[in-house]
Amino acid sequence: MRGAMSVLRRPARVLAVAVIFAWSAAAVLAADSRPVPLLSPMPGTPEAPDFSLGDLDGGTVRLSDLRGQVVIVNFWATWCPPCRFEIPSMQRTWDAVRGTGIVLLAVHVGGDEDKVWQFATDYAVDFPVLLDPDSAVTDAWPVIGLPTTFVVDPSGRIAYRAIGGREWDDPRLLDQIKQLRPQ
Amino acid sequence: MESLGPPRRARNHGHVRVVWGALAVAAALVADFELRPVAAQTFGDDPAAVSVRAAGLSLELAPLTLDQTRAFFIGRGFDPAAADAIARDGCVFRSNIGNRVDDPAGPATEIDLALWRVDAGAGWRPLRLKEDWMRQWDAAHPGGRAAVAFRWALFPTRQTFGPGDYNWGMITFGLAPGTGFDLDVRWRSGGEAHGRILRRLRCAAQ
Repeated sequence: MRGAMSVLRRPARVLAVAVIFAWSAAAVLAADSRPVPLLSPMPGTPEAPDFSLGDLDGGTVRLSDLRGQVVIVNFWATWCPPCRFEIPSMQRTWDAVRGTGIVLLAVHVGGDEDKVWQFATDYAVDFPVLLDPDSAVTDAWPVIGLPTTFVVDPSGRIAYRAIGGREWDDPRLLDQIKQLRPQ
Repeated sequence: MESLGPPRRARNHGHVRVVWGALAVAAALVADFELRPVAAQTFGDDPAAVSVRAAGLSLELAPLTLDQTRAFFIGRGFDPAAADAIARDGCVFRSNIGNRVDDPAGPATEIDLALWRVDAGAGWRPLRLKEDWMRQWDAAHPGGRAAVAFRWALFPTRQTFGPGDYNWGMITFGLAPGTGFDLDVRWRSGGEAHGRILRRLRCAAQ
């Protein structure tokens, strides 16, 4: 009888294993088929428009002073949902790359300095947050919607662009950025 | 007891059939992810919202209530009358539009809202675009942080998305609160034109 049950169970086991395998394969393939939101090469790699903007601490940051480093320039606003979504991963990235030849600047588009300061406090942001109250600097860059982020290479040219939020500490994305550093 | 089962060779073939059958199911599942038919469907907890994923386009639309619209713009520096005008005349939807093709080296998706049309029962007509609002306000000399916020809060009229790119923003259809309408959505993927008509959308009534 035990043998009979074993024989009867065997197809069920095979079926179960096959179904699990099938679902796993489907899940893996489906996961692989999902978008991989990395950074798009910037057509023409134009020179990054220089700017000098105030930060939340009363200082001033000039982009051209950072020549020789890779600079991530993020244009965002506190009221923009995908901007808020990506800020934590930006902070994790900043924690990982600061002092390694990579700089992260977040340019807030529009006024509301108090709201920006509150946001930076709530999200424990300690990378430089710059203020572009009249949007003049943002208008000089090829920004169409928020958030848009550019990666400027050490020679001052825009190498990559991302429209919409990203997981900035994704290793594949970080590799794209790190490879811009002088070898 | 061995005789209760089919001959070993036949059993093995049966197992093989089962495995291949399951693999076929997996392939169908994967194909479904890849080739899901064009559909507008409700998502999230908003019964008035629609989402579409087709031919390089990812689109989500959901109406904002008049109070949500007023609150947003008053919070950005608009005076209450101006914020109320946007809410009442705009038929404001939040939108999430992008390129969600699976291949990182895949084609770009191009959006031009000037090509979209709405039909609320009186024929197809254009949307009320960001530029239309800005022209109206330029004449009334508004400005400052309210104008900056409005310009960046509305979905850009034209935008090109690489794989994985997307943008959020408000889209205004220029209809009265509570109006039902169809929306003709146009886009290009890899240079190829596509279009879908989304039926029975509705502006928030209040």
